[in-house]
Amino acid sequence: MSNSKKILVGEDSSVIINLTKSILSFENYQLKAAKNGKQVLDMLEKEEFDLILMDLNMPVLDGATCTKMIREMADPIKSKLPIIAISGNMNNYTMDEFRKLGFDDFIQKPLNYDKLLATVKKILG
Amino acid sequence: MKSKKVLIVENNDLTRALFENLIGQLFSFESVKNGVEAVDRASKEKFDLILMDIQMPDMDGIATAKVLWKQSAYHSRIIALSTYSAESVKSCFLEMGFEDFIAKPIRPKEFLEVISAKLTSKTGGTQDLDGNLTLDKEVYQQLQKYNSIATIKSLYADLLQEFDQLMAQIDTAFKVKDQQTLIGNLHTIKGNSGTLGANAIFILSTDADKMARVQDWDSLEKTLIKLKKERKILEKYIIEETTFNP
Repeated sequence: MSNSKKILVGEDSSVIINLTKSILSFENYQLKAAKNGKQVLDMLEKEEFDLILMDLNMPVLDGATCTKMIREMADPIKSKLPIIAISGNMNNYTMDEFRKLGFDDFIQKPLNYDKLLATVKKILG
Repeated sequence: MKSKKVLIVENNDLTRALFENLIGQLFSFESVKNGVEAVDRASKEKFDLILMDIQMPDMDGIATAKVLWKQSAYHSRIIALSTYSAESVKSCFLEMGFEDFIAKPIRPKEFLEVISAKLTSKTGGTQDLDGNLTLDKEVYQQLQKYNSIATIKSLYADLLQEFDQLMAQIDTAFKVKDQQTLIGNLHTIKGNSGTLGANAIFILSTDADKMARVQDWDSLEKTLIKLKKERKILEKYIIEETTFNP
């Protein structure tokens, strides 16, 4: 199955970036990485993506603030991009709280590989 | 589920009876009326979860939690219960190292759901690891499902390399007691090691993260030394695992 869907991952740890890449490439998703929220915004300016994976804890600009800024963008396609939250403090938030922050779904750290792939597939197909 | 044991710490008799009633439906429990009794009980027995009322006379819930963490090598998972209801309160408790926050008055169904989720979630459990301490076999098998041995090798090389970078910053931050950098970097180590099944490092960094939050510098210093040792053990283990089990 060929798949040209493009995913942007906002994550400051290169360990998680490379792991995510290796797993998502299993389904031929293309992945690009940004090391903080500001880089995520910069890359969105230049390129089109189908989905964003967003770590909550990032330097410079954190994932929740970055998501809020994306939701407020004038461009209707960009502002409605599906965004999945990734974070270690996850089990302390409810799905409702995530939705309020503007996320479509969430994945818990430590990452479960099957869950990661399934969550992405649920949105991108 | 009766094998899981909860310690209820609540000074109000009526509320305590309500908690006992609810928890007792699913789990074993013990309950105490104040912080001093909680410290005494927790030093004698291991509880899977502690429910801690925050507003108590004499020794409040926060002070009690800090003593418990110091005493039990930071493994205690404690849920804060309080009538403060502002949204920001929850994040304050999480910052301090609490496992979660439940607002009072509680809603019984939700209350039990949160507690059940805590007691069944894999991520919070630092026990039952036994032989899988250095590297979680299950995680390793999962990795093999998606990756070649060469990729797996490079993923663990990344892990070790990033560990060294973060640890160098941690050492510098420790000297000047830069709490924010310490917590941030330990948090990243926690996420990385947990995701790649490096359980020993995951457990130690989880403890170290709590120590940095409550500024227990002596314990933190010792734990950082242990972390560095575990890193060496993991490196050796990975070489063996990826060489002899292609």
